[in-house]
Amino acid sequence: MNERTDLLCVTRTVRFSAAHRYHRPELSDEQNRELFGPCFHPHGHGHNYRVDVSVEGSADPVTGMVINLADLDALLKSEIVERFDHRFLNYDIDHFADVVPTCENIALYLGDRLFALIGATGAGRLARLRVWESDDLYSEIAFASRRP
Amino acid sequence: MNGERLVELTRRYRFEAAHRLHTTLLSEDENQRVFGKCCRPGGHGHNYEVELTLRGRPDGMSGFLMSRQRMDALVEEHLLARVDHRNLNDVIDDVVTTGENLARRFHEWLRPVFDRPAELVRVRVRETPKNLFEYPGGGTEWKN
Repeated sequence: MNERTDLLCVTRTVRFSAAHRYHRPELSDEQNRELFGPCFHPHGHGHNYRVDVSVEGSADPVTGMVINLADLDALLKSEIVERFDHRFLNYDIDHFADVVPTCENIALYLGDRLFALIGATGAGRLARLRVWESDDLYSEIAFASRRP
Repeated sequence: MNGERLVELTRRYRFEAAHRLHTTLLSEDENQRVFGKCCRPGGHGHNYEVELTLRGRPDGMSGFLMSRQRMDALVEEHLLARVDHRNLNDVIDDVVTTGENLARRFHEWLRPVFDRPAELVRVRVRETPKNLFEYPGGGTEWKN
């Protein structure tokens, strides 16, 4: 059988609500305001985020699953929801102490961690991760079958 | 690490416009047969949605592929100002204003605008909740 035709993709969605703020300490207030607009406000603002996690692989011939959703849920809960929900991303997630928590950077950060964690389960691999900041804006990272 | 790898950013815009599906390359009977109610002489309109996807490496400092304000300003100037509350047949008179042709034409207009730092790789045009047209603009292989 052609390996490609056997591939399936399952997407699970999780949500979290969090605050963030855009600013760079090396820039003046004026430069920050020009670069980030209202997102520079010192007290931050928040979003109802949504993350779509797509796992690709072949379905297990016995269970019919690419990955057991209970296992994936447990992973997404500990890795995303418990760490990000009702937090201030700049202060509560070490990575974002000096990386601006834009949609793009959250996708990169979560994509890297979940690629490793899902890969370690031996069931499927992370193919795509999409971070929605609002209905009108999302960022996405995609992974090839084999990473260099 | 960040700053080296590619991500996509998709943002949705809206505009309202009239159009009529009709071509002088066909007879009136043929127009009627091909385009049906979309061919009625007075035209009709839609609340269009346009989803634009940029691909690139987020700026190491700002974390942006492109700032939202800059992207919005460029889309306003090069797309929305040309089509919002217009008759699309006045704006685009060399092809039928189907969703397919709109997606391709919007890509033509916007592709040079979004060359750097992020490239425009996809245009989706939603004409109604039932009709979605997508023009994949190509771009470099991006899977990380």
